Amino acid sequence: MTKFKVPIDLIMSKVAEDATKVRKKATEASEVLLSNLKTDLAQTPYNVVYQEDRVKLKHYKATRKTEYKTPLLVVYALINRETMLDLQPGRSVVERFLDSGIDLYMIDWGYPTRKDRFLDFDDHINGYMDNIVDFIREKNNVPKINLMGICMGGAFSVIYSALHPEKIRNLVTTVTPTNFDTNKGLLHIWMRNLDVDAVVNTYGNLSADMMNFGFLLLNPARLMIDKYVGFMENMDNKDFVENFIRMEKWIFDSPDLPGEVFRQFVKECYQGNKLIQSKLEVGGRLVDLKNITMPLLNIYGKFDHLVPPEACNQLVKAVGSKDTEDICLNTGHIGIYVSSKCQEAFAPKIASWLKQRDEETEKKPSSLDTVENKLDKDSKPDSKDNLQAEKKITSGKAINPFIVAQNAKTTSTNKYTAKEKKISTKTTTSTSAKNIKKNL
Amino acid sequence: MVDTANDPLGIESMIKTWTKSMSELMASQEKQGNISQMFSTFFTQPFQSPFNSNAFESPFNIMFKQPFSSDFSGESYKNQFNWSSFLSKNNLEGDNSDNSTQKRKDFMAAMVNAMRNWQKMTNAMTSPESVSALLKGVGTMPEMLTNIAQSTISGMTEIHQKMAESIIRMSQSVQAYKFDNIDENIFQAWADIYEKEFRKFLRIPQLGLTREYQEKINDMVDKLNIAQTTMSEFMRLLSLPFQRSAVVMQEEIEKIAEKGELSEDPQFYYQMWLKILEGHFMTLFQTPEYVETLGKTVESMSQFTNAREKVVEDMLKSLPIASRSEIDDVARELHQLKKEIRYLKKKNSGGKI
Repeated sequence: MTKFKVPIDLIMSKVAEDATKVRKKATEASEVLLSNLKTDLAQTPYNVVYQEDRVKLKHYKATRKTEYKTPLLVVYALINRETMLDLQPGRSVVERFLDSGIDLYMIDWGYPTRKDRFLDFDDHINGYMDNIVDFIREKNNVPKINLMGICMGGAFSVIYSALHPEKIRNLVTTVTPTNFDTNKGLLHIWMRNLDVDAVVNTYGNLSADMMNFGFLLLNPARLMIDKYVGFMENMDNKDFVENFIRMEKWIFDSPDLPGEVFRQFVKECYQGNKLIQSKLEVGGRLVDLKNITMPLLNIYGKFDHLVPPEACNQLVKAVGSKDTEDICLNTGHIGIYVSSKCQEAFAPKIASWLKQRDEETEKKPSSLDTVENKLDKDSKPDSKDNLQAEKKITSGKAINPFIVAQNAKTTSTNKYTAKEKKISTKTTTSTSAKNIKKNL
Repeated sequence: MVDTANDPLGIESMIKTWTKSMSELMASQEKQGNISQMFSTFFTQPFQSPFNSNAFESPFNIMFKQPFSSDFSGESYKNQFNWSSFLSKNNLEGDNSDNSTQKRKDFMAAMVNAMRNWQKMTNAMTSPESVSALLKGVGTMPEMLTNIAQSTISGMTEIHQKMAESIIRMSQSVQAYKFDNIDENIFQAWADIYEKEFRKFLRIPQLGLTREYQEKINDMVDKLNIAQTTMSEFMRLLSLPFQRSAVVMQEEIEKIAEKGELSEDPQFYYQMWLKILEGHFMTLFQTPEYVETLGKTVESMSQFTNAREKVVEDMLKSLPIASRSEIDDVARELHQLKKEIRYLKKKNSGGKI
């Protein structure tokens, strides 16, 4: 066996040096931790304008004159809370929407209790959601509203739009799983083998602790070790601590998931993959995705380990709409909403996309809304997840570091330029950012 | 002679001896005319004529009625089984009438007979034959204990064998990022042995009034054992990436050292270890073994929770607290009603249902 010299003395001296630094850091950290930390979530003012059982409808107070004729309803998932969209002032999707002049509503699903265990897709979609949509339509005196869904809320929005297309003007889906026939995400692998009946029949609702433990298990090395090592290293940084605690609050502020919703989601979606095949039935009615004829904007993350791109990117092909756009951002499941750099790409994109279609009764959109025109070209990914992708894109001279792929289609070609037609015909399948640039 | 094959506890033999002793006792009592007297006092007299007040007012009738009568005041309540109090209260003492004297005589005779019978039975039980039969029955107990011990020892031996095999495997080289043959499965071995050797003791049919409750408790203990085993196996799987990462780290450090590129920064080694660990976890989580164990863990925990709920529900029945299944029933009905109301509302308003 080859003998080699390990510089134990040097390593130990480095450790000793670090120990001195740690002692100093600990003193400063104690000052930070004992100080008055600002860690409140969801600070943007709103009114609760509608409530049914545990479900509330938040209406955010406008920060400027509303510039959209059609109000926007945001439907969050039943897993975790909608406060993620409004983490803190200056780092809030809600704030950005309001600054764009959107009349914004958001559903707060509340905390399901044992009595809610029997509530299923039908109760949430044809019950609560439909009542809320009717309320907003009536309040604003509009026949249709804009609908934006997030994750499971996106799946609900897709189902709702297929069942009630006459009430939805535009549909935006973000990190929305619709195709479950993939082995890319661990959740897909695990859920396929889960005896969901045993869990639901025993526990009623799926407890938040069980869900959170499952999510932590998706990457224990990062989420249970490195994350807290990172915290220890930055404990003396007040801003870091405040942001970290805010995220911790959001992550572990988890409502239980109603048992029947969980059963349906696992059986019909994860195990049966019925949604994308238009075979799902909700409330006795078939959810035919071809009924989704309104404009559709579908956004997802390339590094999403919960809802991988393969679970999202089939939707635009399955719907009946002729005006669809598919955007793959260079980030993960949560990064889309909480990363300040991503928010710069994400929220203004949705706002401009809606704005164009809001005015379509007066004039057709003059161009496909290419994200790169709206964004700061110098913006760079700010999370570790993005580093790898960033390298790939910069090597391909990407137009925006966040956009990995973009796919748009429309058939209202008479108003579009030849260049745009070229995009619509050439990008029926997901293309890289490099290809998009070439087409443009 | 006790036939241990057909009568392991010697109960049959004991009963035979007692029956024989009782026959002798009955025969001797019959000779003295005590049996007929005893029966006539104990049973015949109260039922001779239901309409005969004397018959109903027999000492035994009063004796059994009195302690449960509604007279809860005074001495009879404080000392319900004070016989002299009963006797005096029911005019059994100090009354010189013929009827009362007869009652007293009958009562005393019955008491004396009862005492004699008890003495005879005690004698019969302590007779050398009975004691011998009892001892023989007790003598069979070690055989039963041996059976239990055999099951335990064979199970433990098997576990030790599996553990030894695991240790040998653990000492062998570990393939990085490979979880194809996760067979150091000591907890699975325990689960198999438990199911084969020990579970049967918890499944012995229970008897009597409380059998249902006892069976539920046994079931809960059984499910707890299974859940703990699967949980231990699950935790063991989660520990594998750490174990293998340590080995890979050694190899990596060796390679770097050979190149002379060893870093002085501990952060470098931490990041290296973290990446290796993450890679191992990602590989493990996709293996069929992990997915299967995860499924088994969730299932066994559900089954234990279910069994525990059943025991708790039984306990709650005696308390003024609604059980979970009762609340679930109400919630289910409420849910159904709300659904119907929603349907009717939308139908009436002409909306899409």
